[in-house]
Amino acid sequence: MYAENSEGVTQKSASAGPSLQNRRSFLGALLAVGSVFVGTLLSVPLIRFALFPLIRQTTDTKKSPVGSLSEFSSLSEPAMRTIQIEQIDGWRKTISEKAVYITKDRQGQVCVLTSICPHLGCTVPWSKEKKLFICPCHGGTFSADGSRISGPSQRGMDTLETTVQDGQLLVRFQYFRQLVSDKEIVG
Amino acid sequence: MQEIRKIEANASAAPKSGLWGWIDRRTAVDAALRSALYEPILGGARFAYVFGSGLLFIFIPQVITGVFLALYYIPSADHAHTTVSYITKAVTAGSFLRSLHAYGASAMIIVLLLHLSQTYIYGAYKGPRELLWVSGCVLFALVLGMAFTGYLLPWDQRAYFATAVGTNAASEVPLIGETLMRMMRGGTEMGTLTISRFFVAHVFFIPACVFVLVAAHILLFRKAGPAGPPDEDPYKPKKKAELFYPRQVLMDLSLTALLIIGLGGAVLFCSNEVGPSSESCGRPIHSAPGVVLPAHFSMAEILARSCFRGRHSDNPYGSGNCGRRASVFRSQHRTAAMETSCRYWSLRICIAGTRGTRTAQRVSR
Repeated sequence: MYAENSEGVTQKSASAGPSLQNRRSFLGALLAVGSVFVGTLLSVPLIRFALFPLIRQTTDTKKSPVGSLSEFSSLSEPAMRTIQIEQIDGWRKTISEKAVYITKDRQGQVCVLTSICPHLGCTVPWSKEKKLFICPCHGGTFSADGSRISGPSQRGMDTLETTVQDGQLLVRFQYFRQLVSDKEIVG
Repeated sequence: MQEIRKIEANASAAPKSGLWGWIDRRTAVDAALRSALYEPILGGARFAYVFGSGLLFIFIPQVITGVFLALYYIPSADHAHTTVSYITKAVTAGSFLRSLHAYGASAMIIVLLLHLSQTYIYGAYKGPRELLWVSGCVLFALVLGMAFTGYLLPWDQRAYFATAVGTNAASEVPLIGETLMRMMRGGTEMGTLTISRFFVAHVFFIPACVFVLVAAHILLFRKAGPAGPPDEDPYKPKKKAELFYPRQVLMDLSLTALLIIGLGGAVLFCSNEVGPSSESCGRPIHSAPGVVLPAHFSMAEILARSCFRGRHSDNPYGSGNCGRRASVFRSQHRTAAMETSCRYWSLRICIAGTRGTRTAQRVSR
């Protein structure tokens, strides 16, 4: 079945041509499939490694105190307070300060608003003159209870989860997705 | 040999259909693949030829894992050890990838030595393959450089002292030794500039040279063709030839499978741990006597010291506490490792083996 050509290259005889080609094509296909399988298998840890920050909790979920509840019972306009939250930035743990507004909702209950604009993330200050929250970046305006009045934002300012413990108002700071109409927690 | 090339050329000339045909008409990838796979091998396929492909197989995962590790690594004295610890202990699959990168480096040197030995024993360095041999030797030096520069990056005690020994060995080079050492360290002391320099060399400079030389090496190999067995005439080959595909491909893949299993097993059952930070060298180092340098460092140091012995017998590793401790470590290492260790004798056996092979080649001529 093997024959030697004029220059000594060992190869199969011409009669075995189609069968030989078929076997080699099959082997090639088998090797290609095997390589793709092994490659895919080996890429799993790489993908998990690269996507690790996406699945990791980066912000402390503990609740932070903002003050005594009685302090806010007679609010006439939103009051700004800063809270400290622990953030995990890769291998670093940092304590950062975040501004929140304590205000009253439409039912007159005390609630806490994040100062991050739901449009594109600028910090929204309270304007005492106009009695409105006015975003300095794109001019979005919000009422004292945080509901949207005008501007590009698709929803009102986001309220934060609160509890009262021993007369102290506690708030859990969270980040929400911007540019969407529904409130959606992202971290 | 031309005949078989014609047969394959005719086979490749057949029009292809489907997606492969579409790609082939634009890239001629089918012809390139056939040209590579149907390379005639003088004397037939052998397991002795598998190391070159094995090296290429190890090199590619080294690049991939290295790029991924760089996602989290910071090359500074403040952060290097912390980030490596973070990769190893916190990041998903971090320990796996780091261990794969570390063990892959050692495997690469072993396979490279086997490839070099096979080339030498088979006389494949002879004409017309001189440039192929020279490019391979330069690649060998570059791979050792990669291993040397990469070893420091975790910035643990083992890395610190290994690099202290390595850079000090470089200072033994006549005339330029001191300058070379200071250039490598970025000053007289080892610190954040040393890491920065080693990092740049490890991920930019040396890999760029390796890529260029690997391309040149493959190009020269394609030009010269496989050398064949030791008794083959390189200019007028007389041995029967066999095509690279399928037998040689299967042999190459068997080494690849062996490497996957070996490296995978080593990584899964004995992961590479990061040691204590080198920043702790201000405190007593109980671990220093147990610090073991990689074999290739010891060999390089032995060669450096045997070539330039006595030039800088009073040369300190650097000033300060860390430097004195490194000096103590060096003397311990020299006594323990250079004079009585297995590595020293391994090297002597290697040298004796090389001389023996050379003599055997002369006799066979």
